[in-house]
Formats: sequence, structure tokens, C-alpha cells
Amino acid sequence: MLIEFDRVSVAFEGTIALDDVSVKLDQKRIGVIGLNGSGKSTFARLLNGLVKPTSGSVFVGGVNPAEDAKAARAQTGFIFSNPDVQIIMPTVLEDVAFSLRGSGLKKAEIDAKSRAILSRFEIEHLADQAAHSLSSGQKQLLAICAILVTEPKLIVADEPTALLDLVNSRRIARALLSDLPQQIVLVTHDLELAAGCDILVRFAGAKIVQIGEPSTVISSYLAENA
Amino acid sequence: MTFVKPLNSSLIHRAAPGPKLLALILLITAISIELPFIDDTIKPWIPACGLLFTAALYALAFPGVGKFLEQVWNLKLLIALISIPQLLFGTPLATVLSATVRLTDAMLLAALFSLTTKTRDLLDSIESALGAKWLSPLTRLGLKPATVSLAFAMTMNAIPMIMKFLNQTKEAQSARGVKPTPVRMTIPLLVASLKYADEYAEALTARGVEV
Repeated sequence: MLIEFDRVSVAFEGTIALDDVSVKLDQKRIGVIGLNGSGKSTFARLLNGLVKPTSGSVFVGGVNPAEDAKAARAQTGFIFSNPDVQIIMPTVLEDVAFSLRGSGLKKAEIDAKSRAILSRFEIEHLADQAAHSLSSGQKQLLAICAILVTEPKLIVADEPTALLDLVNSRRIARALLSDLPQQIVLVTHDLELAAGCDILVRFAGAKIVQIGEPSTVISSYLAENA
Repeated sequence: MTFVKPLNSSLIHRAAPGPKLLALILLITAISIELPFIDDTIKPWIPACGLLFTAALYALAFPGVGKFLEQVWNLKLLIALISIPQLLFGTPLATVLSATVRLTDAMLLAALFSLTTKTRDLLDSIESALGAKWLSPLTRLGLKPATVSLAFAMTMNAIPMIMKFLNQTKEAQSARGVKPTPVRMTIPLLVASLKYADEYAEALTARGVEV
């Protein structure tokens, strides 16, 4: 899907979060890096309409999220850094199944589809457990399952490994970068994770300052912030 | 209240959530009010009979008396909170016993309901009940069955989160050498809960739920 930003600016209460950003991206695994407050998360939130541009326009696969948020959210799944806030239903299976409410599928079909996605990420044995009793890594996998079960075309992950240990970070990285057929926009501070993307977009001071091969972008990022 | 899907398959587990909820309301009402047509010699025994009946329901749902006793133990603080102040204010022992047993019994019945009912089934029943024809005036006034059931699920979900914040606040204050008290914990707990509410609302929106 083509992600297109045309002179997009976002301001919150006088603070400029994104400043006149124009970019076209269609790679499968797009990494987004930059310091805190550089505009990465605002960029990610614009993709499914969680944030609306103050000026300019955003198109994702031909859909303008600011004008048609419902269509944008149907095609874009969003994974947050804190898995706790993503859990809506009390148990693992119910939380995944919740994503399919209103899909027109029968209860048995919803259950089967939910179990299939849990099985794919090797957490089907947790299906009947209380979601809040899971470890952080398991909760993040649950959040990914709850998004993927709706079969979105694009996944936006905003620092999905920020609260995880090394083992769980690598598990999530594998899940997002190796196993998914979907296009992904991955916002991260984890440069090892960023290195696994097809292209990196670097933000600084609310602007895109560099786009290119991960190794090149990471080298200049490290050099500038040494 | 439990948040884990029941795995047992007793008669109580298999009962439809709607009638089960109705039975719960009727039972709680029966043990809570003093019916005027009941003989005075029988009245003092009603709370105890109610408790025995609840124990029998637990035995029907779970083998043995372990689950019933576990739930009673879970209510120990509540039982103390109900009974001790009444005794301190000089309320007659029989009255204190009657009130405490009635309230404990109501809590035990509610716990039994939540222990034996899948959340999703309960939400479906709430939605279908609110969508019933005789409640259509409420729907026309803006009451959305899906929103009510979602609010119910969110409330259930918020409880473990608030408990988590409470423990984090306690630990943080203890680590800094401050004895955690309800007054000292109120503001941090409120701030953490409000931050959680903001992030939760954003995550709900991202999952296509309009709040």
C-alpha cells in the first residue's frame, strides 16, 4: 500500500509535533527512528486517524484517515507500546474474538478464527486464561493476535518492544518482521529491530531528516547523537 | 469476582446467562428483604437457610466445599467491615448476625454467578436483553446495547489494572521510606488511573470502538 504524506503539519496546543512532512512510502517493512519528541509517534498515529493533520493531507492505500477513520481503521491495525491498555476483554480468547464482533461471522467461526491466530503465535494454550495475568511478552503477542485476526493490510506498531525484556523483544520482532504477510510501519528506539526493516525513516525536530537503507540511517543517527 | 473463563461443565455452568442473572437477582432479593407473610418464628432462620442453599449451589457447581470456603475467606475483610462497627455501636448480636449473613450470602451468590459465567456469554445476554422489544423506548432514547455491554467489560477489566496501580504506588512509596496511607496514595493512584483511561480510550479507538 502506498503511504503518502503531502505537506503534513500537526500542532498540539501551540507545540509543533510534525512540521511540513512530505513523503511517499510503499516498502513492506518501514522502520521509523528518532529521539523522543521528534515526531515518530505523531507520524504513526496519522496513519489510522488517531491524530488529524493541522494542515496537509495523508493517504494510506488511497484512504484519507482524517476523513474516513472507519475505513482507515479497517485496513490498519495499531499496536501500542503498553499491552495493558490494549486488552478489552477479560480472557485471552475473548479479547481476540472481540475484534471480530460485528464482522458478521457466526460465534463458532469467530472462535475458530481466534484460536487459529493464537495457535499461529503459539499462545493457544493461554486461550482461557485471564488476559491481565499474562506476562508482558504474552500480552504483546495477544495484542498482535487481536489486531491480526481482523486481517488488516497495514500494521502500525508504536514502540512495541519498549516494555519488554530481550527474549520477549526478539519474539515480538520475529513475529512482526519475519512472520507477517502485512506491510508494517515500525516505530522503535531498538536499533537492532530497526535494522531488520527494508527502509528507515529518521525523524528529528518534527521533520523527516533522512530516509534510506537501515545501515546508513542508523550510522548517521548514532554519529549525530554520540 | 473472577476474570477467568469457567472450565467446569456443571448444570450451573451450563445454564443460560440471562435466566441465571434473573435467578441471582431473585435470590438476592429474597434474602435481603423481610417478606411480611412469613411467620415470625421462621424469619430468624432465613439468612442461615439462604447461606446453606448457597453452599449447596457451590457444591453443585464445584466438587466439595473448598470453593465455597475459599470465597467466604475472600470476603473476610468485608465481613469484618460490616459486623465490627455494628457491634461497637451496640447493635444486638442477632441483628448484626442477620445483616452480615444476608450481605455475605448476596456477595457469595454474585461470586458464584461470575465464577460460572463466560464474560462473552454474559455480554451477549446483556446486549440481547437490552435489544428486546419491551426496552425499545430506552434504545430510542440513545441507550445502545453494545455500548452498555462494552462498558460492563471495560469495568471488569479496569479492576485488575487499578489493583496493579495500587500495588505500584504502595511499592514506590515504601521504597522511598514513606508509609503508604490511603491519603498519600489517592493522588498518585488518580493520576495513574487517568493516564490509563487516556491510553485505553486511544487503544479502543484504534480497534475501531468509538468511545
